[in-house]
Amino acid sequence: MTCDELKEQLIDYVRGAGDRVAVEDHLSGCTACRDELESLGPVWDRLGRWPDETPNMGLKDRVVDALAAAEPSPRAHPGVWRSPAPYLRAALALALFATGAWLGAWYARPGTPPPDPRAEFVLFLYDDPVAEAARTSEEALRTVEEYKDWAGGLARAGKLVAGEKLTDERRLFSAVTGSGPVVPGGTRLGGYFVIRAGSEEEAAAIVAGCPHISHGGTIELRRIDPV
Amino acid sequence: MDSRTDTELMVAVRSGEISLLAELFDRHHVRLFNFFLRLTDRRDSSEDLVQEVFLRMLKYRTSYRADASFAVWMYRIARNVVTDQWRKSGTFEPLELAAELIAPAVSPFDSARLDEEVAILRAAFFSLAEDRRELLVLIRFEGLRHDEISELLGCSVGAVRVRAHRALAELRDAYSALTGGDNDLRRAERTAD
Repeated sequence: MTCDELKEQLIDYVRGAGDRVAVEDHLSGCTACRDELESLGPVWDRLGRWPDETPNMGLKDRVVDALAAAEPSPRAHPGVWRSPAPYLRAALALALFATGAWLGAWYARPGTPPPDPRAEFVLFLYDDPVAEAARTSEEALRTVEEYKDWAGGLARAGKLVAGEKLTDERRLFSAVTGSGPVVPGGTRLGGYFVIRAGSEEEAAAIVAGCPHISHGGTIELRRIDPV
Repeated sequence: MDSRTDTELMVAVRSGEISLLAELFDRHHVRLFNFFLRLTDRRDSSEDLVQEVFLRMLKYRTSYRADASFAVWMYRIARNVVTDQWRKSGTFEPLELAAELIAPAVSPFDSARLDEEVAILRAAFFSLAEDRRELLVLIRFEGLRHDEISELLGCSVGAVRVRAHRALAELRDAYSALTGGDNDLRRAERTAD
């Protein structure tokens, strides 16, 4: 193998492919090519550490709308294109709203006992976009029912203080880095619940029963500091 | 999740099941988005370009051949889309990253997740000519095989290999230039070891 022939093989070699024996045979007797390889390998490796970015969650909706507008036949109705994720998000928002409204009505009833002095905790619900996107519409609707049951049970037991779904738009503010959009990707904070529980263990048990966990999400439990 | 291959799905789209484009979107939009992002360094327009690819898939669905590689067909559309965009708007001037990314306070939302050396490498990457960046992206990030790239670019597999070697060497040199030559990658690697 000549030096020119080796140059054709180097890119395969750094990829871990190609005729490695022939390349290594040449490298053992050619300092110039060895230096070339030693300088290119780290560049190749470091490129691999440049992470992919995730487009905004709303991109699919936008593309689906554009496709439906471009092909306005009944078969291309937007509902045909939609993934279950937007349904889930909308339905979840509705479920949380409904739960909150129901809770408000419950508190407003005459004779409602005063708020329990027990400790309050915040549950931060982080979504898993991958699991969410993989859900079918039917699964999404079932999931919403599970959330409603869970939150309704807490409300009836006097353990639910508040719960809201957050929108997808996020901005960071910092004196050091200024303000700007958050680089999307991975999990994101999708909503929160404030609950009341007699102990950390009881709060943890409530969290463990939340359907968010079994559906791939993550929950961070924090006790509200009563200071 | 549909168990059909990309080709099977696209054949079905061609036959009229156009809603299956949504499945192809789910599979490929992140790849395409990052393809455009690494060519243009612009998030907003990269999303527009992804949308345009799927609109063209819909529009030109009858031109898809079942015996052709779906990846090659898709990236051919993607290349046309970005070329048209370049033509329409003059050119995408990559942001002035070279100097900025070395200063850690700049562009924190882009570079926060990158370690400093990768950030400099990224700046070096954007100093390369567009065809060099494209080739490196196709090989390193999009995972296309040499024969697919050869078909896409209309050159021999040997030429793909030689050009890729040249592009990688240029990236190495641009990196060294940004670090004043005293932060040679090899030395950095050895030190790290």
